[in-house]
Amino acid sequence: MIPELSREDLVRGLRAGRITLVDVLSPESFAAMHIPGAISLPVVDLARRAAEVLSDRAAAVVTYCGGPT
Amino acid sequence: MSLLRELGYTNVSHYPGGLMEWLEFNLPTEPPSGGRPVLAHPSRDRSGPAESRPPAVQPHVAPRALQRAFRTSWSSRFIDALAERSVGALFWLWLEIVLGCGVAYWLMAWAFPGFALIGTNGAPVASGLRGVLPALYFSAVTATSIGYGDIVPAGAARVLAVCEGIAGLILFGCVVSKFVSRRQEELIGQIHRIAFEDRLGRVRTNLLLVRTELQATARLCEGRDIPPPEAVARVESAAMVFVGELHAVHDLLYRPQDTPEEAVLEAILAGLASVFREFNELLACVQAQRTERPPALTASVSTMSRLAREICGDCVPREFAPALRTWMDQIQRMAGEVEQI
Repeated sequence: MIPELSREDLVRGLRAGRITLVDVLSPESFAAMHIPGAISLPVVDLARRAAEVLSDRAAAVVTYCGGPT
Repeated sequence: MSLLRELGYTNVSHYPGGLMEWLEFNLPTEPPSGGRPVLAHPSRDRSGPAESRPPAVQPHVAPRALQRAFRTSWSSRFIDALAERSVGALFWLWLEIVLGCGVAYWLMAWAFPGFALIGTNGAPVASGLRGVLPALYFSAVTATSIGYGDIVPAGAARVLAVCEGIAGLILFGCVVSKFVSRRQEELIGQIHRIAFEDRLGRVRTNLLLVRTELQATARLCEGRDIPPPEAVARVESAAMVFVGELHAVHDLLYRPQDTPEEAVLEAILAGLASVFREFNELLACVQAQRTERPPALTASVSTMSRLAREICGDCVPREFAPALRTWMDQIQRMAGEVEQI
């Protein structure tokens, strides 16, 4: 199971620069709007591009999609 | 995002509210500082020189108009605050106002007899404990905007009475409108549900049509060394319809507020998988002899592959339907294959 993170924790983590936020939505969606500090890595490209975008495998990574899941 | 785990990332968490929740709470959509993305543990970042990072990960600044659209005025925030309370909570708030103001009148009448509440005979209402009930009665009559006038306020009590009257009226209006709108919301929800199910049904029917068409084309293609050009044309149009259906499925599944039932979703995914399998076979058959492919077909195939991978990706649908993983894996695999052909 992937642990879930509350909005408050996300804001705190982003302010402190402790986490890498990953937007897994499409590039068009990312271009229109995204959470500040997020980097774009669409689901379809995960396997291909994860290694170059997220170089540190032990770093704290937080993902988000479009809406409540 | 279990895929990230599979790729060897050990410290992954998920923000379940996603972008929608973020926008609902009017949080900024601009980077907090500078133009650089926030990268975790810069000291432990083993990516080497900074310029080797791909340019695609630079954050994008949301347009100003968009931000303005999500910033709300105080009045709409006030209305939202009232709207999100339940009928019971609003009624309690109203009662609290009545009781609170009643106590305030009582204390005023006690402290300044003759300058707070005056009865019809011109005499001030009783002070002390005997004044409690008249004060509460006056408060309730004011808050409901009945205003018999058998007890009238005087002095500072007038200000409070006017304020209480306004607040009581607004709250009472909210309670009444909530009662009325509850039934309507139920009806609207039902209509949405029916429309949604109707759309799901149409997707299933269309998938069946695409499948029939593909089978008919496959019969054209079988047993010949060179497939007739009309077969290619039919594959092309079938691919277009199929892309349209994939778009519809994608759209339906990415609206998490009303998710289809698992049985319906399974039927749709099974349909998608079988259409995909036949499409792959047919494409291989058509492709066996001719090397050049019409550009429209190439475009359709790549869109198809992208959409199918998104539908069955790690994002929304997988999480609400873990039982359907086998279908999703199948579709994912075939989506990968279709581009290889």
